[in-house]
Amino acid sequence: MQNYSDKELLSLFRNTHQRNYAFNLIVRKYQERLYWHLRKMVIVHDDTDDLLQETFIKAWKGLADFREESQLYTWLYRIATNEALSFLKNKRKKYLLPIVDVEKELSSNLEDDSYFDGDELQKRLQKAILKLPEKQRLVFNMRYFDEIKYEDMAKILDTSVGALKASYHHAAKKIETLLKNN
Amino acid sequence: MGEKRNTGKIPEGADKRNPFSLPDGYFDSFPVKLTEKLQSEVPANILITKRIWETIRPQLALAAVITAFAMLGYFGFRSFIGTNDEWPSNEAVAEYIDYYQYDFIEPYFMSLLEEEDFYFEDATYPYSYTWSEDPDIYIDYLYNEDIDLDLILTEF
Repeated sequence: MQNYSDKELLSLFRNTHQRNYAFNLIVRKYQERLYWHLRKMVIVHDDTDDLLQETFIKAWKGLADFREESQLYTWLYRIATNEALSFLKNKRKKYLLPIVDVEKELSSNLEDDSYFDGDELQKRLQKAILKLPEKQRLVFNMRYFDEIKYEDMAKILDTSVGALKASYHHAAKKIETLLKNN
Repeated sequence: MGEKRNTGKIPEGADKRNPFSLPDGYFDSFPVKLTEKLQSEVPANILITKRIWETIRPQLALAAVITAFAMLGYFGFRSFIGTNDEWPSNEAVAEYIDYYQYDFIEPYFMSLLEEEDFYFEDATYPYSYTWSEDPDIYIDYLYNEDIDLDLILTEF
């Protein structure tokens, strides 16, 4: 597959006759990164699959109006992040569960997940991450695993770099404590 | 840009390998599955409308620009030649109405249109509006209507 830049892909997308082709290329370019971003938030593969589809459907509907004020990948990450947060929020509403029970459910899913190949230490780490508040979890995953720059995270999460650094620091401390105590 | 890594001490001994896996060939089949879902979810008519709009948008924009230039040219030319066709004042309109007003009598109006002689149906108006050479007819009419002839002469 030819490697197009985001600018070239968007330019291709604006050509009505090549729209489907361009969108297919965008999907192929970003599907993996977005999948893993979503997967770390909702744990279960099937849920991730649904959210990834929703993310790209929203991108398809909104891409014609995308004005390139932000980068394509930060825009897509933002859509995916919102989808993940909405999913977790709906889950809490649906079952009338307090936040701790959603975490328990996700931890339980982790235990039963046939698509989890990590060792015991990785499982403990994932469970500790699941105990963080959702926003901190997002920040931790994006920084620790995806190694996204704070400046880019600030654009995706619409917050300041300082707030993100503080959030990451708190999250890291909590996880360290949880791992020590467990 | 050599941003300082801030991963802290956690987790001791753990690496950053992705602990999750997924079904074989998932990323190969996902774009196909997504395309199918897009075709079923996004109604075709929305896409067609969007395409039509995108096709005609440049023409509409061009038409708007041409219209704007035409209007600018028209009003510019008018102001250049100094045409003054302002609305008449209220006083002028009132004066015009006073001067030209008349009682509208529909049958008479119709007869004028049809160029026929007109006769009042009312018995009090036994005369035709056709012009006559006989002045007695007019005198009789004025007399019957109790119209002051002096007043007519001074007014008209």
